[in-house]
Parts: sequence; structure tokens; C-alpha cells
Amino acid sequence: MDISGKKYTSKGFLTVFSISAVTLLFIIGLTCYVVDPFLQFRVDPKSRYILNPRFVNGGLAKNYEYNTALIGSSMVQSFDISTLRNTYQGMKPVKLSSGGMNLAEMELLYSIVQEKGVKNIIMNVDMPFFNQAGFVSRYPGYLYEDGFMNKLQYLYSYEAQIQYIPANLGLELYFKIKDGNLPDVYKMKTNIDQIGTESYAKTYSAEFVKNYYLAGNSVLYQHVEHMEERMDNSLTSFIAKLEIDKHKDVDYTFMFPSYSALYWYHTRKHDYYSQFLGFAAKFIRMVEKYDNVRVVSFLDRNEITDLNYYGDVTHFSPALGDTIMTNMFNPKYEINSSNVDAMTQRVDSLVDAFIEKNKDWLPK
Amino acid sequence: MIFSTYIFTFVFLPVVLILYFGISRYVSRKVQHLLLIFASLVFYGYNHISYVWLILISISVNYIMATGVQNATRLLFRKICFVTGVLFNVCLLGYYKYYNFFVDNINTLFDTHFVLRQIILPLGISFFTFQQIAYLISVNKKQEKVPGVLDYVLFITFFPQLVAGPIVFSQDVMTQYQDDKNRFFNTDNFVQGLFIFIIGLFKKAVVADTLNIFSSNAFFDPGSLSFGAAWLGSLAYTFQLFFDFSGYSDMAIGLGKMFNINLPVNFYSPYKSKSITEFWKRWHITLGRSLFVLIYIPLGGNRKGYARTCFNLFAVFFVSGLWHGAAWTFVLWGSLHGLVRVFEKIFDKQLDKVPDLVRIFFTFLFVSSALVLFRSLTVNDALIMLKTMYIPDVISFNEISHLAFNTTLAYPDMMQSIFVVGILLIVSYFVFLFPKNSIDLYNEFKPKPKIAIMSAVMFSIAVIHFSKVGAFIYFNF
Repeated sequence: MDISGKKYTSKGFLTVFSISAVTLLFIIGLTCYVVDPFLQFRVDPKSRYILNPRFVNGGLAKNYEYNTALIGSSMVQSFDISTLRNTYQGMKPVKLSSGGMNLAEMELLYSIVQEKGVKNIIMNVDMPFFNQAGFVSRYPGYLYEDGFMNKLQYLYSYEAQIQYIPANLGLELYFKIKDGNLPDVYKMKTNIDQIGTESYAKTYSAEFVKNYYLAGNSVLYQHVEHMEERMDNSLTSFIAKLEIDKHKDVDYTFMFPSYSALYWYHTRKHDYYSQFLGFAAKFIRMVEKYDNVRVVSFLDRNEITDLNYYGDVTHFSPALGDTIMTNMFNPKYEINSSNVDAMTQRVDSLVDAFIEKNKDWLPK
Repeated sequence: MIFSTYIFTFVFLPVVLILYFGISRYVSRKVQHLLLIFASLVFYGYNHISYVWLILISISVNYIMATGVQNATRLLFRKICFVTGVLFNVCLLGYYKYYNFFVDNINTLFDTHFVLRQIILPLGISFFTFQQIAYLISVNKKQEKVPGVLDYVLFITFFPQLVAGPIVFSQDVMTQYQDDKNRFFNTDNFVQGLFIFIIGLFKKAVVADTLNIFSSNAFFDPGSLSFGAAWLGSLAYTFQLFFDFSGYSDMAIGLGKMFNINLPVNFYSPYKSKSITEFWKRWHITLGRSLFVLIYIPLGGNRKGYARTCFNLFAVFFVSGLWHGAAWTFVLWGSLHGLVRVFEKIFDKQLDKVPDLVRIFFTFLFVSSALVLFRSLTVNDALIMLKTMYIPDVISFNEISHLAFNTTLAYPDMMQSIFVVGILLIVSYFVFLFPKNSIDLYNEFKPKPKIAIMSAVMFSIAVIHFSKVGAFIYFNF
């Protein structure tokens, strides 16, 4: 092998390689910076990007213009957050949610929102996630933490470069060709107000939910052994990490969402009904010492007995989501130590009524 | 540490290269070797520091035994040293790799309840153990002389080949380590090494890890696959394994070359083989060579008659199966290769009359189908997949799109199907029809500007795949 020809030298090869590689990597990085599929540098509400909550929540929390943050799991994913904007004058809300969001992920998003100085924070209290131990954030860290190396990783990340940039550029083109006249599914997937919603793929009907449940699809499995102790520990740790007393200028709203009566029936069947239903009272006891905290409960809404409002055992429709958002700051739904027992009794009655009405098909 | 990562490519490798060659004019070869050994141990212990002591003990015991074998004046002492050394290696491998497999089978067979242990397989143990047994054998046969301790430690730990081969024999590299001119930076070698390192990087990070999406989805639930999806899933794994391991070997060869060390070739277009016999001369070549020295020759090779030769051949492949993993899937995989190898030995002349293309086709078909066993978690899973491929209830091409499923971004089904078939067609072209493999390109390398630009393109594409790359498949063996 002769590699010492007069025309080509190894030093020349190295020079051409180095210049080419640096140029190419610069162009690749620049493309990611300009397109910015995960909103790490800017958020343009007009752009039509595919918004995967796990990848964009960090950028959205850091770079979107908002004064109210709603943080929560799939229970709030069907929310069209524009309802809050339209209901409450001056409110600029953002929804930071993702399916199966655990407490570590909530805390991570909360820390970003807190750092941004947002004064109005709504947090969805999804009880099953308080019954987990040893949870860690599953979000890609480089999209949530600051630092030069994280930004560099983003600019050259597989997800951005290979998956989302081509998809986003293709979608932009598609939008232009179709002149914005696109199926709802694409509009929802690219709308910041509806980020993460799967309502386009859901069937909200009692018959569907009934068949879905009877086919063996239920809810996230819950370990019952030592549940109470585990939930107490999670709650104590969660509230401590929020450091509410250090942020007296922030208004906190903790929201208990509307689980279906079928869900409550399922918890009764698997022996954790009382732990879950009693959790609201424990939560209140934990936070009532803070003047800047409100707890609202939609657990006892009448709609929970009507499965037409649900797409599965737990997740409710955008219609019920709208009602919840409209009443988010309605004092009627605030709960405290003096009315929490009445609220839980109402849930109890609603669940009893539901079971009585549906006893012909509910599994024994 | 994994080659195709930011930390290795942008930090570890440049730092080691700069330090190693930077000090070459000021210190002796031994100091440079010490640095390289230290770097190799950092490389080895980066993810699991706890096993650095294990490799150091293994090296120490082997070195002492090899010295004993060489210096023994009495035959008995020589034999004791040799047998102790070999037994030590076998026991080490046996405990870390086969203990649970053995106990599990005892429990199944005799309905006992011996407790399985939580043993983490030390990285590359199969590779450095084989390397050291082969070395003991060659010292015992007086084919090798025991070098200085630093040269020996470097021979085992040299990071380009430490965790997944090529399985290097002392005669491959020892004189190169000891050659004084190799300790100085050589631009020609560096550039040539860089070239094949980038090819390997691309093969692993871009090709193999893309194919991994398809094969992982296929083997996740073999029972749910259609006829078409099962075939494409099996094909995806066949190509993935090749690009993964040959990519690693290319990178190892490239890294060695950067340090002026020529490592042996490990892959040479194996899927173009006309027989299983030829396949093993092109696939994981250094393993075949090791098994020849460690199993075939000690069993008598071809010196004890035809039947014994056939048995010895089968034994080599049986051990090869076990070497790859402590599971019945691997044992079956190795045994199948052994049976076909014996079949080819018996019908050698008749097979020669079959047209080459037909032979290549059936050899590939066998290799690919046998790899279903290699990849499956259980024999039952493999049989389910093989049944769908060869005796399907319905010939259906549905759900091919599911092979491209990922939780990050879903494309429409049609696009995903086109993606799967398109990628496999492109890869097939490079495997079967592209006139030169990476070793040819490496051997014929000329530092032309267009090759430099092409290398830069491949490097840049590989870099953006780093954030998703998985560990090399052969790290598990």
C-alpha cells in the first residue's frame, strides 16, 4: 500500500477532514439552532412543530411567555389551556404535562417554572403517583438542565436531528401546501395550548369505557402493601421540595381531578379506596398552614358517574376539562379542613349510586 | 467505555493520543506503556470500576503461571504451572459466566432449589480469558517467550481490543509493542487508522443502531409478528449483528493503527460465504482461530481419523455457542453450526458442484435463521418466530410498520413500512453487492481529499447518532 504519493499527503487529508468535519458539524448545529424543534432557544407560538411533551416541556417552561403554569400528568393532558386564558383576563397560561408524569418530573418542571419567577402555579394532584417509591425523572436531562454541554448535546441529538427536524420541516411544508387546511390531529399535535392531548385518538362514550374495562384494561397497578406509609412519605417529601414558605409571593393551586366513578369502584375492588379518598384530607392538613396555597377538588363532580365524559377508566374528555378550568378559581371548589369530609362523603355517595346503577355489568 | 460516545471520541481518545505521543521524545517506551495501560484500565473501569481488580488478578496469575511454565526445570512443575493457569482461567470464566446457568439447570433437572447469585458479567472476560489461555498454551509449547511484565499487561489490556476483541495472540502484536519506532507519532498510520475508525463508527452508530430499532421490535413479542414482519425482523438482526460487531472491529483496528499497532482482521464479508466453513473464516476470524488452538488441536484435530475429526469440528462449534452465552439458545445455535460444518465436511465434493450463488443464498439463509436462536430470549420464542417464517398459518405482510415503532415520534404506517424496507434494501446492497468491504477500503486507502470529505460526512452523521447508541452486542459475550 502506498500512501505517500506525491499528490496526496496524510497531512493534507487531515486538514481537509478537519475543515470539512468542523464545517459540517457547524451547519448541523446551526440547523438545529434555527429550527429549534424542542424550543430550547425560543418559542414561536405561530410555528407548527410536532410537540412531544417529554421533549418540549423543558423548552416551553424556560422560553414561553406565561404567567401561570399548570403542571400535571395525563389527567390534564386533554386540557385546551386557551380556556384558562379566555376565562381569566390577563392570564397567560402554559400547560406542562406528560403521560405518567411522576413526582420527580413534576418537581423538575416546578423548579424551572420557579426559576423563571412565575407567580401563579397550578399543580395537578394525581394520587397514584404518590404511591410510587424510588421514582426518578425519565425526561432527557439535557433538555431540562442548563449548561453549555447540555445545549451542545441538544444541537447534535439524535432525536432533534434525525427524528424531529425532518418531521417538522416536512410538516411546515405540508401546512403550506394545504394552506392550513389540515386534519384536526395535526392541528392538535402542533398546538401549544393543546400540547400532549390525545383526544383525537380517544372515544368518549360510556359503552366504549365499559367494554374497555371489561376487556381487562384498567389503571396503573397499585401496590397496596404499605401504601399509606408510602403515600405519606411521598406527600411529605413532595411538599418539602416545593419550599412553599420560601416563595410567599407565589400563588399555589393544588387540584384534585375528576376520576371516574368506575375508577373509584376499581380502587374499592382492589382495597385502596379509603387510602386514596382519604389522601385529600391528608394533603390539606399538610398545606393549610400556608397562606398562599389553595386546594381545589373536582373529585365530587356529578360528571364522574357519567362515563360518556371519559375516554378510559380515568381520563376525562376535553368538555369536562373545560368545565374544570373554568372553575379553577371558583371558591365553590376550594376544599379545606372544614369541608373536606363533606367532599369525600359526596364522592362516596356518587360512587355508591354509580355502582347501584351499573351493577348488572360491573364485575363482582 | 464505548467507542461510539462523546466521552470516548472527543475526550478520552484525543487526550490519550496527545499524552502518549506527546511524551514519546522525553521518556522511555516503558513509561509510555505504563501510560497506555493506565488509560486502558480507565477505559475498562469507566462504567464498572469494581471489576478492574478482577482483570488485574487475572493478568497477575497468568503472568506468574506463564513465567513458571517457561522457567520450570522439571517437567512436573511445568505441567503444574500450566494446568493451574488453564484451570484458573476456566474457573474464572465458569464462575462469572456460567455459574447461574449451571445451577439453574441443576435446579430444573433435579427439582432442587439452589439459590442463583447476582453476578454481573465482567466486561470482556471471555475475550481476555481466551487470549490468556491461548498464550499459556503457546508458552507451554515453547512457541512464545514470556515478555517483560509491562509488555504482557499491555498485550492484555490494550484498550482498542480489550473488551470485544479482536482476540489477539502474542505473536500478532508483541514485537510491535516492543518496536521502538512504533512509539512515535506517524501521520500516515494515524490517518489510515482514523479512516477505518470512522467507517466502523458509522457502521455501529448509524447502521447497526438503526437496525436495532427493527430487531428489538421484532423480537419483543415474536408471537405477534406476521410472516413478512418476522422475515424482515430476522433479516434486520442478521445485518445488525454484522454491522455492530464488524463496526467495533473496524474501530479497534483503526485505534490500533493510530498507535502504530496492526491488529488482526476480524471480519471479511462473511455474508458472501459459500458455506459455513467459509463463513467462519470470514466471521469473527480471531475467535475461530482461538477455538482452533484451544479446542480443535488439543482434541486431536484431524490427526485421529475421519470420525474423530468430525466430532472435533462439532465440539469447536458447541464450545463456540457456549462461549457466546450461558443459555440454551446459544448452545443450540453453536450446535446447529457444528452440524452443518460436519455435513459440509462429509459432502464436500458434492457441494462443490452446486452453483456459487445458490450456495451463498442457502448459507446466508441458514446463518440468518440460526441467528433467530442467537437473539431470542428463550428457545420457545425462537421456535415461534421460526415457525412464522417457515410454516406460517397465513402469508401476510401486515404490520411491517410496527418494526419501526418508537416511543418518541410516530410516522404514518405507510411511511414506516417504506422506511423499514428501504433501509434493509440499502443495507443489503452494501452487504452483498458493494464491491469492497471496509478492510479492502482500509488496505487500499489513499489520503485523497474526496475521501477526507466523505469521512467527514460519515463522522458528522455518526456523531448525531451518539445520543442514542446502545452498547455493543459483543460486550455481552
